[in-house]
Parts: sequence; structure tokens; C-alpha cells
Amino acid sequence: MGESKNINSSNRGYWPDALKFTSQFDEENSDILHLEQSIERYTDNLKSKQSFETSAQYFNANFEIEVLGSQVPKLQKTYDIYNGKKFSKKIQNWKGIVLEITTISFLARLIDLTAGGTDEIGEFELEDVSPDDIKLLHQGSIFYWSVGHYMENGQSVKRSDIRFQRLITLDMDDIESVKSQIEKKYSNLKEKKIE
Amino acid sequence: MNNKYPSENEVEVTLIGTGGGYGESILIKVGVDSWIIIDSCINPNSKVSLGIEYLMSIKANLENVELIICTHWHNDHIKGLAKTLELCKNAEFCFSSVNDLQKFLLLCELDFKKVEHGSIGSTTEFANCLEIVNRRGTYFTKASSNMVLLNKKFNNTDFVLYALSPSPKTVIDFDTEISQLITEFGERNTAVIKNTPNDKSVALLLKFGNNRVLLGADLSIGKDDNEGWRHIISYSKVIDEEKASLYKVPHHGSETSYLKEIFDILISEKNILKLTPYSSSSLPRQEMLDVYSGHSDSIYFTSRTNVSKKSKKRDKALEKVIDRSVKKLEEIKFIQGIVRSRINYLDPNDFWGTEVFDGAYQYK
Repeated sequence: MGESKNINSSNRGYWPDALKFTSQFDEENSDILHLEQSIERYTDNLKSKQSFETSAQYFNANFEIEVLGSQVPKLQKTYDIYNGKKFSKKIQNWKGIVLEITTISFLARLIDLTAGGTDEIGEFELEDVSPDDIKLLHQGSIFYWSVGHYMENGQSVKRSDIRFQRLITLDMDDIESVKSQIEKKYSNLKEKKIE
Repeated sequence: MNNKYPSENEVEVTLIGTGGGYGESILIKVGVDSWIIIDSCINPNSKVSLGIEYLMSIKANLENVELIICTHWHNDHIKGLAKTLELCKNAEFCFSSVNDLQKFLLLCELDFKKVEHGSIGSTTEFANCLEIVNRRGTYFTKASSNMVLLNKKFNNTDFVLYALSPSPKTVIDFDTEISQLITEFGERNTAVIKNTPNDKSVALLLKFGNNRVLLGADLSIGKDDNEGWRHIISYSKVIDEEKASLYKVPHHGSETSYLKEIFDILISEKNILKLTPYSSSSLPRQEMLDVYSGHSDSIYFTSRTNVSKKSKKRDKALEKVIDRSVKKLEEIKFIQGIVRSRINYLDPNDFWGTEVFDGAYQYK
């Protein structure tokens, strides 16, 4: 499940990878939906060797070996997760579902992951979707959209990232498995026969 | 709101709207104390089912809800339906007919599997309802044209609720569509988008005494007389000489659901029209309002049509980034509105008394 867990250290400091991490986190814990919360929580975990090892087991990942310096000197493995301080408090996340696509833009229904409540309709330029993600754009596809202020080299940078969901395709085995479950799951359904 | 419970001799037909996007619901009281719930809607902030909230506000006993009808199984139209069914313990569940239920269940389960993996389900609310019915061991009904969904007698008056749709051809087409959806299902990062859920809507006709109530759901007119309203007009076996004095206009008053023959054949000259606007789709359009105004002197909306399409209020600094990042961003506004009509079914001269609450208003 989920996309590749490998995070290249050369990508350090960029949101898309952070979103990869968040996406993974979301799949494991559906109640943890906020990027900021996820990052802060994970950063807190990094401060404790014990909890980091637990986290490492939890994510079951084979990430690049990196030493975090004096903070946790005995660690052999770590994640290239960015320091929570790099993010300001002003972040907004949505989960979107693509409704329509034109030659220059696409329309999506957006679920507010930050504040909840009402949904929104957003129209995005196709050129704002990365080349890697554009092939994932079609009616019904799911994506995450995050905007906010990002600290880079001490400077506040405004960012907007659209990241399309990457999940394993359902195959025939999945479908057969579901078929066999249905009979058991709905064994008690009774149709009322009326005129 | 006036929370007075309807009297024993009153029939009530209440329409609840949300401004579009969060569902709509109709509540009907027949006889002494029997309720029918058609579709469901929620407050997106509190997630409360508005139909249940209304019934509790007038102190209705949820155990007296006898039937819950899902006119079409798109999540946008039935938000909160599973919770409603859960709370109405004695209610039977009825939905738009499908020939091969196992195949339809397969679609629902595959959709649910996607949700488990982070996708957005289109049929989850419906699947949850079937799970409740399965757990309870109660009956479900697959509604299709000319079917009697409820038949009760009070004070020597028969109350009969008929399904007018879907037509036989639509049911067959739906089976084909399900097969296609399953075939194309594949990728988990794609939600099932159904382009034509409105074709399968269950339009309803309630008869009691000389009164008729026509509830249009989202039914479209159809391509020919084998589908939609055209099929009802041409082939319905349950239409009689009495015309409906109350009509819930289908699909937010859109052009695709309007047929002049509906008014010529099914609706009486003295009538009440009720309509749920869909603000983000700008429905109903002014030209259709003009058309409906030509058919009625009493038109009620559950919310205003000229709703602001601004985005949500957020931190100013964030709003600046958002404005630069998106071509258009509009909030799907939640505007609750209730249009309630009551009539004394024992008085042949009585006519619908109609009240509006919250964001609802009388257009004409």
C-alpha cells in the first residue's frame, strides 16, 4: 500500500516528500489528517531514541541511513523528515476529487482537512500539476492540495502543492476476494416481494 | 420554527434543503402517526441528519417511521441516510431497483475497499444502509415503476405510495452500467463517478382521498418514452384522473427534468410547487423559474438562489497564497431551509397550508 517510502536526502526541505510522508501517515492513522500535526508529532518522536525506534518499526521502512548529529548520536537509521520549525503555522490542506477536466484546467470538489465543515469547488490550471502527476489526472482521481508558508534558508516562502494519490491498482484477486466476502456479509438480506 | 406536531387528521409533506451539495430530504406523515422519510441530508458542520433533527424538534416518535426511501444512491444526495436508518429501528429500507443485487453489492464493496485505502467512496452511505438491513434481518424493497411501496388505511381513507420510476429499460441499462463500472474499476486512487445517477431516481406518487402528491426526486425526462418522465407520462399504470396539488420539482428545477406534459397531465391548476436550489450549479436558472412561474402561483424554495460564491474565510496570509494558487475557489454553501405543508385529509375542501422556516422562502 502507499507509494514508495524512499526519501532521497537531496530532496530535503521540499513539501512533496513531506507529503509522501503525510500520505503514509494518513493511511495508517485516518484520524491524523493534518500535515502540520503529522510533522510536529514525528519531529517530537525523533527527539526520543525509544520512540523513534518504535516509529521506525511502525512505518516498516527502509530509508536512507543518516546521522542526525548530536541530537540522537546513536541512531543508525533515520528518516529524512524536515524539522517542524521549517513550517509556519499557516498551512491549509484539502483532499480533492476531480470532477471535470478541460484542455487547460480541471475542476474538483475539495474536502477541507484543516477546518472541516463545508466543501469547496476549486478550479486548477493543468500547468500547476507536476509532470509526474499529470498522468494520474482523470475524472474521479483523488489528490491532496496544500498551501501555506514555508521557511527556507530563513526566508518565508509561499507554496502550493498538488499531489495526486498513488495507490496500488485493484486486481482480479482483490475482486474475487470481495466477491467471496459479499455472500457472507449480506447473507441475511431479504427482499420484500410486492406487487 | 413552529414545532407543533401535526394533528391526527393531517397529512404533512415537509421538504428540507441544504442549498445543494449536502443532500435533501422529504418527510411525510400519513394517517394518525406514520412517517416516511425520502432521502437524507446533513449539516456539514455538525454532521447531524436534518430529517431526524426536524422529527425530534416536533417530538415525533422515530419508532413510527415505517419506510425510508433512497431515491438514488449517490452520496451527494443521501448524506446521513445510514444514521437515519439506524435511528429509525422499525423502518423498512427501499431503493431504486437493480436486477442483479449481487453485482451491485460487488460495486459497493469495491468502492468501500477504495475508501479503506484513502479514496473517496460514492456508494458508502448506501452500502452502510444495506449492512444495517442485513444486521436487523428486516426486508428491503427494490422500487420500480407502478410498484406500491406503502398501503395503509386510516379513518376509511387509503394512503397509497407508488413508485413511478425507474422504468424497466432504465433498470436493465443500470445493470449494464454496473458491469461497466466494475470492469473499469481498477485503480484505487479513482472514485467512482456516475454520470447519470438521476436517470435511476425513484419518483413517487402519494394518493389519499382525492389528493395527489407528486415527488419528482432528481428524475430526468429521459431520451424517449422508455425512460424517465417520458415513460411515466406514456406508460404509468397508477396515474388516474386526479391531479397532484403538491409537486416537489425534480432535480433543483433543472431543464433536464422539465416536461410540459407533467403539468398538463399530472399537476392540477391550483398547486404548490416545492424546489431545492443547488447554489454551486446555479440551479434553478432564471429561464426555468419563468417557466415554472407560468404553471403555478405558489412556488416555495428551501433557500435563495443568488448565493454568494466566495471562498471560505481564512487567515489573510493564507488567503493570499490560495488566491495565487487556484483559478477559482468557491465554498459550497450550506443553507438549511424547510418548507412544510399540511392538509386535513378528512376535509374535502381543505388545501395545503404551507410554512417556511430557516432559509426557505416563498418565491411566488
